[in-house]
Amino acid sequence: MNPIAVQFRGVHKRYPHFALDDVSFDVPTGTITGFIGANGAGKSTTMRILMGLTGHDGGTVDVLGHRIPEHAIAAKRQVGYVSEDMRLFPDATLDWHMQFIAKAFGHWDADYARNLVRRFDLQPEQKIKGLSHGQRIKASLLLALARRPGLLVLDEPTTGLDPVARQEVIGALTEAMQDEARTVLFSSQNTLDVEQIADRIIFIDRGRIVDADDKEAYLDRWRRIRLETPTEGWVSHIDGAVATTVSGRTATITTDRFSEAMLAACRAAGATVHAVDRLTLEEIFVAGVMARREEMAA
Amino acid sequence: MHSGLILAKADSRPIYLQIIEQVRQRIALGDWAPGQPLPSIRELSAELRISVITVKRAYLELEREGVISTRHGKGSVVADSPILPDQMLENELARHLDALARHAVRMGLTSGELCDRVAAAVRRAKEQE
Amino acid sequence: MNTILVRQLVAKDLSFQRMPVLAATAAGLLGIALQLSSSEGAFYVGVVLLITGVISCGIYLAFLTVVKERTQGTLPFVMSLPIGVREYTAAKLAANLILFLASWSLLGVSSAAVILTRDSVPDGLLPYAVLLLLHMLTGYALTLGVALVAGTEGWTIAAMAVSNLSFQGFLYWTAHIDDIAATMSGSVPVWTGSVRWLIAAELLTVAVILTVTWIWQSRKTDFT
Repeated sequence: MNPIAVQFRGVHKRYPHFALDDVSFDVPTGTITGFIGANGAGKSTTMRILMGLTGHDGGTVDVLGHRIPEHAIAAKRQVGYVSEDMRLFPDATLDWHMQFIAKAFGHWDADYARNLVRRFDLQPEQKIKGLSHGQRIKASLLLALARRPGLLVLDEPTTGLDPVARQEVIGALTEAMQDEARTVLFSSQNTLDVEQIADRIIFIDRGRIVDADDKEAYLDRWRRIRLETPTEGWVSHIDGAVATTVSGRTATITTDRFSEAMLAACRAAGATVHAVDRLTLEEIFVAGVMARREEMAA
Repeated sequence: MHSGLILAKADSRPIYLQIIEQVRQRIALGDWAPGQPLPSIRELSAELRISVITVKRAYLELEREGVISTRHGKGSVVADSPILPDQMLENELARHLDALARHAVRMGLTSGELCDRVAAAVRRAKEQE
Repeated sequence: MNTILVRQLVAKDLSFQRMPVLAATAAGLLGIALQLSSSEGAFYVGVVLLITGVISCGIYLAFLTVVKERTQGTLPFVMSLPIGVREYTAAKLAANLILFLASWSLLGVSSAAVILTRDSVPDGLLPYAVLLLLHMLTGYALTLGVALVAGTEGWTIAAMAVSNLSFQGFLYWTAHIDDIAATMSGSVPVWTGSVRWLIAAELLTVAVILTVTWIWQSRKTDFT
C-alpha cells in the first residue's frame, strides 16, 4: 500500500484569467486532508486535475500510484468523486443510479448503502429532479461512499446542507477513516468542517499553495497577541508578525510562527503582554488571505 | 467500544484538551478502572466525529502524563496507577465528603459515629486492593 | 477498452432518449401517412413533415446525448466513471447511430414504399429520395461530430445550420442535374451515373466525418 495517496509536483495550469502555479502537495494515505481557500483560489481546478477531468500544462500528478492522465482510468476505479458542479440524471431515480454505479464499478456495499439511505434521509424511488439541493448532494455522496473507494475526493461536500445533514456527512467521513487504508481529500468553505475532521490542512490562494501542515501543528502556530503599549501609535517590527493593528495604547499582533521568543521580543520592545489567544481556522484563513492581498497590493 | 465522551462545541478550548480532561475525569470518578482498555484512536475519532490526529495528540499527552499507557500495536489502557492532577482528586473527594456529611446528618449520626464508619470503610478498601 | 462499461453507457442513452426519438419518428410516420393521400397539398405537407421528423431526430440526439450532458452538469458524473475519452466517444457514437439509423431507415423504407406503391407518385423519384435521405444522414453525422469534438451549444448549432442550409441547396442542385432531372418524373427508378457517384460521395463523407471525429477525440487527454 502506497503511503502517499495523492502527489502533486510542480503542477501548472493556465487559463485566460487564472493560473495554477507550481502546485505541490502530498495527501498521506489514511488521513483526511482539508483544502481551504477563497472562491476562485483553485481548489476545484486542482481536484479536477487530480481526477483527470481537466488537463494540466506542467508538473506531475500521481493518484494511488497511478500517473495522471496516462493511467487516470485505473485511478478512477478506486476514487469516489463528488463536486458541486456535478449533477445526477434528473429523470432517473436514486435507485437507478445506485444500480448503475454498482454495475459500473463492481464494488458496492449494499448494506452500507441502505444504512446511508436511512441516515441521509433519502427516498431511493424518488426521481433526482424532485430532490432539493441538499438531497442531491447527499445522494451524490451516497453513491461515492457506498463503493468504499480507497480515495474520496470531495469538492464542497457540506455546502448547502442543513446542520443535521452536515453532521451525518461528517460522521460518514470520519467513519470511513476506521479503515486506515482509506483517504479523504475535501475542500470546504466551512472552515469548521476542516477544523473538526481534517488531519492535514492545505491552504491555497490565487493558484498557489500558501501553507500545508498537520492541523494541530497549524493551529498551534497561529496566535493573536494582545499588548499594552507604552505610548500611543506604537510602532515596532516584531519578527513573524502577519498583521499588526494599533489602536491607542493597545496593539494586536497576529502571527503564524508563535513562540515564547516572540513574547520576549514584544517585551523587549517595551510592550506588556496582556493576553495570547488561539485563533479559529476561520480567523486564520481570513488573516492569511488579507495579509497576502495587502502584500500583493504593496 | 463506546467511550461516552462528549465534546462541547461552544467551548473555546482546543478539542484535544477537552478529551484529555474528560478522560482524566472518567478515571478519577472510577468509571474507567486501571487496566481498562480505551477505545482505539480511530474508533474514538469516528465516535466523536473528529480528526484522528487530534485524538492521537490527546492520547500522546495522556501517556506522557502517566494517565494511560500504550502498548505498541495493542492500543491504550488506563494506567495501573494513573497519575491524575491532584486538584481533580481533591475536588472529587470534597464532593464525596459533602454528600457523606449531608447523608449522615439526615440519619442522625454524630461526627464520631461517622468517623468510625469511615475508618472501617477505608480498611475494607485497602483489603480489596 | 472497457466494453462492458461502454455497453452500459449505450444502454443508458438508448433508455433515456427513447421518447424524443419516438416522437420525431412518429412525426415522420405521420408525414408518410399524409403522402398516401390523393390530395397534392397533403402530399407536400407529408413530405415536409417527413423531412422535419428525420432532421429533428438527429438534432434531438446530438443535443440531448452530447451537448445537454455538458450544460446540465451530468458530464462530470459520467467522467468520474472509470472511462476515458475514447470509451465515452465510442458509447456516444454507438448510441447515436443506433437510434438515428433505426428511425432513419424506418422512415427511409416507408418513403420508398410510398413511392413504389402509390400511382400518384412516380417511381422515378426513388433515386432522388435516396439522395436526400443520405444527405440528411450526412448532416446528422456532421452535427454529431461537431457536438462531440467542440462540445458547446454554439458550435453544434452552427453545424446544424450548415447541414440545413446545405440540405436546401442540395435539394435544388440535385433536382437540376441533367440525368437526374430527366428521370425523376419517370415511372421507373433510374440509377444514373450522377446518382451513383453522389451516393458514393455521401457515404464516403459520412465515413470521413465519423473517422475524423474518432481520431480527434482519441487524441484528447482530458474531457474539456
